[in-house]
Formats: sequence, C-alpha cells, structure tokens
Amino acid sequence: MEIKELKRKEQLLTASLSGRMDAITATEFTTQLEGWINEGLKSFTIDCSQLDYISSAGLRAILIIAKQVRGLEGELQLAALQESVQTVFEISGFNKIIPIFANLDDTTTA
Amino acid sequence: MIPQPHKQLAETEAANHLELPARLTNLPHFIDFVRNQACRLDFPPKRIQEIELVLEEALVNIIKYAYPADSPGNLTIMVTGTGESRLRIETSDRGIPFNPLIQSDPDVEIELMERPIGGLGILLIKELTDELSWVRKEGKNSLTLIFAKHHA
Repeated sequence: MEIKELKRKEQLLTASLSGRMDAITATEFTTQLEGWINEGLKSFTIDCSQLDYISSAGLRAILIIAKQVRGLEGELQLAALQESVQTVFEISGFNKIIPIFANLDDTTTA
Repeated sequence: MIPQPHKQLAETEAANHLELPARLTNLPHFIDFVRNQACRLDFPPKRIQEIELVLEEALVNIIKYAYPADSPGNLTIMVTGTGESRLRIETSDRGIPFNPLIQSDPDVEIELMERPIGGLGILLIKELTDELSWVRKEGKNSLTLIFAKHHA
C-alpha cells in the first residue's frame, strides 16, 4: 500500500491511495493521516482509483480517521473507488457514512 | 441412468492443506495458497478477490484471538475443489472455542460518530460466502467456507 500527497491548500490535503489496504498495511494509513492531522490539516480527499483491495482492517482505519476529522469539523472524502472496494463499502454501510465521489474532480475540495 | 462423475474421487485428488503458526506475517502465505487453488479452478478474478477477503477476515480472527499472545499455536487450512464450480476452504485451530457465526451482525445504519470500531469482518464473511458452517470437534475450531464460482 502507498499513500502519496498530491496537493495541499490551507487545511485541505489531496492524496492518492494505491495497492492493498489489509490487516498488515492498514495502520500505515492511520499513521500517515494522523501525522497530517498533527500538522494542522483537517480535511482530506483521497483518490482511490489505484486501491485494489480493502478488508475490514482498512475500513477500521478509515473509520478512525473519519471520526477524528469530523471531530475537528473537517471531512474525509474518497473518490474513484474500484468495483470490489465499492462492494465492501456497500456491505458495511460505509457508503452512507463516508462521502464518496465518482471522480476526484467531483469532490468538494479537489 | 447416466452415472454421476466420480465426485468423491475428484474431491480427494484436489484436496490440499497448509499448516503454519497463527501469526499475521503468515497471512500472505495462506492467501497465496488459496489464490493459486482458485486460479487453477478457473474462478473469475472478481470472485478470487472476494475469496481472499473472506479468508483474510476468517484468519485474522483466529490469529488475533484463538491463542494467548505469548504462545501462538498453529493454523491449518484445507482447500478442496468440489467439482468444477465450487471451492471449499476449511480452517482449523486448537485455540479457545469460538463460533464466529453466532455473533450478532453490526448495525450498518448507524451514523459516523456513533459507529463502533470493528465487527465488520464476520459480516463480510457471511455476505460473500455461499455456504458457511462452524463446528468444535476434537478440541479444534473448524470453520468451513464454500464459494461458488459465481456468487449468488
């Protein structure tokens, strides 16, 4: 799994997430995002077009961060989910609690 | 009457198992092992990915909770191709008795800030398998996961 910063503007950061977000790698996401939150950023838009796989460990990491940024009155938004990742979001109901956009350009912060 | 193919024989021939210590670092070995079997049976890539996901959820539960942290035991998976169109995975461990199938499903309608962290793995297992059963026998937990080539 790889998380790459694409751009930042004031308290908003856009990043891309690629590879597999599983029981072994999911904490890398939490660590990176918490690092950015500690730098004073509070809204994140994540391009997931290259994210091939997510398990409940990945959902857990996303939920932890989504709650933290909501507490800061920020937002975690995801864009361009692959079909398999979309399926996991639908089963878990995460599509109802995390804002998801078809394209990065459709997000409110891109 | 046309005789049925030698189903029992085919199952025996295709049976295969892998036993390793129940550690997170072994997860990729178990997943590769099952992925190879599913590829051999010509499962479509989308279904193979669902199988990988269910397997990760089932194995992570065992790895995290079956044994005391200071003395991990072994975890065994047995993979059987049943005929052409179904894959059967049986996991077994000698850890504390735990039936994942009687745990209540998490409420997936709860709003973000009230959502508990965790509990979604078993829901994914239930949703993505075609048949599912658990039994405690001979001091072992045994979870059987059956996948049709095309999930109903």
